[in-house]
Amino acid sequence: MASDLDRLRGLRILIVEDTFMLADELNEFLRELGCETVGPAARASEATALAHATPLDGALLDVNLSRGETSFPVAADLAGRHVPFVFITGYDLDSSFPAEFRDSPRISKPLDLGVLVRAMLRHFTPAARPH
Amino acid sequence: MPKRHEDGEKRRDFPVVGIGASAGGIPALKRFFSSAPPDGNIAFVVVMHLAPGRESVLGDIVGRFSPLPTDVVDGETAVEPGHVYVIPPDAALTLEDGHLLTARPGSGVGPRGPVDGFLASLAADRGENAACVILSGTGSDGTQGLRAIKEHGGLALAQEAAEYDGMMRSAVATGLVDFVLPAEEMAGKLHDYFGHLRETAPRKDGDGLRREVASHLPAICALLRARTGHDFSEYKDSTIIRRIQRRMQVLQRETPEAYLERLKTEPREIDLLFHDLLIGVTSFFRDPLAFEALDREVITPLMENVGPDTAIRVWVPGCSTGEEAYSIAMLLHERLSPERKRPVIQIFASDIDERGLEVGRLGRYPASIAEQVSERRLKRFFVREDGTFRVVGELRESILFSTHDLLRDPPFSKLDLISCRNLLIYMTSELQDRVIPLFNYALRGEGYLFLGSSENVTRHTRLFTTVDKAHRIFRRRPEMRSRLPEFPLSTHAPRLTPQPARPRPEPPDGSLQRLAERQLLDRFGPAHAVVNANGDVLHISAKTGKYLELPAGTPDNNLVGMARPGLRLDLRGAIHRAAASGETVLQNEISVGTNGGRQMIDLVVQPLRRDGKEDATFLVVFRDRGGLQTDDDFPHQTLDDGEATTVQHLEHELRTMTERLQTTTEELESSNEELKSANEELSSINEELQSSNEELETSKEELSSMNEELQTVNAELSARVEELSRANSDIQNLLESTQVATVFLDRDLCVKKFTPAAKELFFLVESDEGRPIGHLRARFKADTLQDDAEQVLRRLAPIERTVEGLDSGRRYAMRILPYRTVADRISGVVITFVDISRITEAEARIQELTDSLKDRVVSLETLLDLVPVGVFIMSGDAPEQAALNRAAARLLGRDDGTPTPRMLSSELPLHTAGVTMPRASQPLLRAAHTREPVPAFEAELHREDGKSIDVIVTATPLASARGKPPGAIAAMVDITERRQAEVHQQMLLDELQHRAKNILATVTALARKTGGETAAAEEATAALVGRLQAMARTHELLSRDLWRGVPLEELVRVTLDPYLGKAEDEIAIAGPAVVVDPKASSILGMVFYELASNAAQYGALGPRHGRLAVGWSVESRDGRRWLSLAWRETLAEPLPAPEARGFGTTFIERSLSYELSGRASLAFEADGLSCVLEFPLDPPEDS
Repeated sequence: MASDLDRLRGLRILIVEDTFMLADELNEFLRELGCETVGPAARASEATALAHATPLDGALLDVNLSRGETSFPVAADLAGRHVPFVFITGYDLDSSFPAEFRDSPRISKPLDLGVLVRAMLRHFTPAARPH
Repeated sequence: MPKRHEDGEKRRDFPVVGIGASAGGIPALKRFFSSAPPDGNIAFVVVMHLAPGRESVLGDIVGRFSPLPTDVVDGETAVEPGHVYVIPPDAALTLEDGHLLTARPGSGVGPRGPVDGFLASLAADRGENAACVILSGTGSDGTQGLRAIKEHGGLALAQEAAEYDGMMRSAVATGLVDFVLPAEEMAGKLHDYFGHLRETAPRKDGDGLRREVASHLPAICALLRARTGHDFSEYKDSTIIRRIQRRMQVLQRETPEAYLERLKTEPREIDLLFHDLLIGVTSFFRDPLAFEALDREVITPLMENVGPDTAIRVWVPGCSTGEEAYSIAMLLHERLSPERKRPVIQIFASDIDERGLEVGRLGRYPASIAEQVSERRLKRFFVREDGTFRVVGELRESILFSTHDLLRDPPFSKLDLISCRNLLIYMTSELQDRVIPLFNYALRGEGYLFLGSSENVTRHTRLFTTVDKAHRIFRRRPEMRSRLPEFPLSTHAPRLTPQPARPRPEPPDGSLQRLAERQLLDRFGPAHAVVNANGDVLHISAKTGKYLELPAGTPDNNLVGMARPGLRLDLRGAIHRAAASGETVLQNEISVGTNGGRQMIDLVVQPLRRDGKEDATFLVVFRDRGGLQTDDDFPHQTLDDGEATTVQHLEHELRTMTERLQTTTEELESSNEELKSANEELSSINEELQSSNEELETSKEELSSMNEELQTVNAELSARVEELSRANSDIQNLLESTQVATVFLDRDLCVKKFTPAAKELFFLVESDEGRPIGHLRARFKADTLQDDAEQVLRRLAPIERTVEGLDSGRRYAMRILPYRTVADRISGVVITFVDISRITEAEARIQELTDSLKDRVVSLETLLDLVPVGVFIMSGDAPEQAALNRAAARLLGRDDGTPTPRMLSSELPLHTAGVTMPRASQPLLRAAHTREPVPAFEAELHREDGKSIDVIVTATPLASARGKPPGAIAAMVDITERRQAEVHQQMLLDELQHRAKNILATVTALARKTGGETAAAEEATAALVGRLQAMARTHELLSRDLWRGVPLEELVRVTLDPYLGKAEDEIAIAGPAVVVDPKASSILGMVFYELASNAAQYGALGPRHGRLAVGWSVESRDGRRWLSLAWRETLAEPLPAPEARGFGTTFIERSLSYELSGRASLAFEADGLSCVLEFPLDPPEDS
């Protein structure tokens, strides 16, 4: 397991989360894991700007941003540039997702950090990046 | 002379002025009357051309500017001096016996020539107390009347510079107008003229003549003779005096002396008087009955008996302007037979008035002669020229106009007819007695004499027989031949007839002696002659026959040549000697051979002395010596023989004388007889004359009124003709321009007329007019045309058919109608063709469009039934009913199968809040009424099955065709399901709130249970619980307001609530009402909790005590609203700054910037915390 966590060390991860408390917590946790965090960004436009400025190994995207915004545009942009991402969502229903993202990886709020780590290992580590 | 009425005398003594006017007359009348002195002695009668059948305001107009009382004549009106009378419309006005009479023209007679008519009656009624005024007007009305006025001695005025000068020019052209004046000067002139007339009235005798003028007649006649060469001394005194009086009147000369003076100084006045004397009214066929008689009795036999190469010779003395001569010429020409060779027609028309002859020679007469000359004659003998009639050349060439004085110049001779009408009436009977034998002389064989109606030859039955007594046609007795009298015919010359001369006053003193000497000479003196030195005879006495005889060969005037045998030598010698010596030469005992013997004479030739001077003239005196000796006994004459011869001679002479006496006595007796019978006849004729004169007057009046009527009718006719020709040209243009092919047929169905467009339907050329319609080839199928036309003629009902052109493929609507004249008589049929090809096409197109429209309507209706929205349509025509579609029916709970149209009252069964919707709020009616859309609103619909559903209704007005009230359309959607969904959603929301609160409460409880072992843990738990509770409070507020936002002040107060009770006066909260959105509310709720818990622990709300002020404001920045909130704590005692930043501080600063794009600044100052929060209330525009 330790070796697994080591695989996460040094990854550049973009955090998109509008709630400050949650963003801050996620940020702290990833740093403790040795990741290099980009963001957190509270808005889609801000997130896209950050993603363009820095090479990324992955992104954690809160689906619902404030004032009706979603992070689907960010996801589309990242997909186009082959950056892996994981949605963080409070929703249970597939119908809220556009068809293209229905099969994308997602984890539910409130976050179970174990689930988070497993998702990151699975999708962000180089060994797990065949697509 | 006009007839007189005793009761009329009194009314007759004031003058009446007839004023004639037409176009432009009103302003002229205004000028006339506005300057008229209010003369109470004159009556004015205004005669104007008025439109018939129209109310006239002429009376009012004249009354306005006339200073005299003005009346419109109505029925019989006695004329009063000092009044103005105005003709009523549509009437003929005449003056008779001092009364104005109106005659309403019968039906069919329109406008008249009323001026002439009135003036004629005025002249007859008033004589010299009449005047006429011709004002502005077109045409020639008034001219004939003016002649009448002048003929009766009245005054004639014409307007100078008249606006329309037709009437005035026509009047002036007669040469009879006395004054041409501007309208405003006329009244004054009339006033002066009649004033003068009044003054001179007492000087007149019963016949209105001034006797003192008579004494100056010879002088005036002498002046006239000297200037004009015409002798008027034998004319009737009364005629001449009347004319002289009139001239005096016009010139306002008081006395004949003054007038004579004027004549002497102003030769032109002699001319004027001369022309006045010559005024004669003449016209074509004057007295038509007489001309008919002339035609019958004279012209016809003359022309029948005439030889081919002979000439018909006619003399018209005193022809004036030639009308009479032309009338006779017309009669003659009418009788010219085309079969026979034409005789030469010679008419001598003579007069002393050169002006009149000029008119005759020109042969141009005013249009008004149309009333005298029949239309047939006008057509044959005249040509129209500039509104006048001109005699055709044929007629003109047969007349010779010449200046000729009947009394001065020898007559024409060998005449077949003399027409001398109304000339003798001006002559004294003595003069007449010499003129009539003159006519006898001039006529040949049984020539005819045609006289005027008041003239006669009864004193000369010896010379003429009567052919037609009534019409004064006489025939010469061929056996009686008058000798040519000497000229001039005057009483000063030897008499032609045996009647004794009227005794003339003999010149006084020395003349008596001369007369005695003259008689002595004639009776007792020897025969003598006066000759010049050559022996030419200058004068010769009576009884020279014994000594002189006319030689054979060309006669000359030489005394020597005329001398009988035996005398010639001595005579020549004696004259010669006397001429040479200047002494008297005496030659005794010359034997002259005379008829039946010889005569012994003494010859004396004595030079004549005149005023003591030699005159180269010689008196030759033949003095008998003894009696006549016969040739036989001349040489053997003895004394005894001589005595016996003398006795024998005397006896012989006595016998002869006795015989002569016997003859003379017989002649005398027979002539006495004749005279007696003539006298009787004369007196009877005189009687007759009187009565026929009366008759004549009447018939003359009748005639002139008839003339008036004729003229009027003619004027109207020509106006009609003009109108007609205008209408005709209008019709012509209409026919030419119309696109409607029209063919007019007469009763026989022959083509009368057709429009150019008709050539499209028939093979028609202009010459086809008159051809039967059946003969025309039609360009369409015309099988029934003939029958149709006949049927229309029979039944008078129009027939309409559609026909198709044979080659053009066009379609026409053919209508056959009866042709109705204006008088509603059927005189044929009219066939019209209207090209309806385009109409037919258009109809087809309309049908197509209608079908397509129907299809569309059907699809629209289907669509309407398919839409799931209830639709109600109310038309503006029937606002009480609304149609509804299937969805609406379903909404109402009706069966789907209800057949269309589904109808419903336009008051829909709607309820709001359980109350039936009032009519004013009904959506359909409201939209139609306000013409504004009705915004959507919710209501309950009571269905027909008793249930009720929630609906949203909206309505909008329907545009309608112009002028129609608008309709409306309403849409209705069932929102019952949505309502239920909303209710469900609310329920879910409530559930969610409840769950969220429960979760928070559970978490709080768990936190409390988890902590509690150590003091630090207890503190941490308390902090956690406090924060959870703050979150729960904010959540509560948000869910109360359905997550729409929270008022800022409430948010502050809820957070500070636990402390407010303790130290209320220490806490001040102030700021404008601001609602903060849910996200900002959650953040601010946490921020306020952190600030409050910090203050409770270390600051103003804690044990240190102090005051807290929370204030905020909203300002605009970059187009967004920014909230700026200050949290200011003021502590009583100073506080040391905290060493490290706690969670709260970090949270406040970071969350504000991270989540709200705002700023937070915290300052821990000595007297307390100061925190300023700023963030935008509105989302960024680019989001």
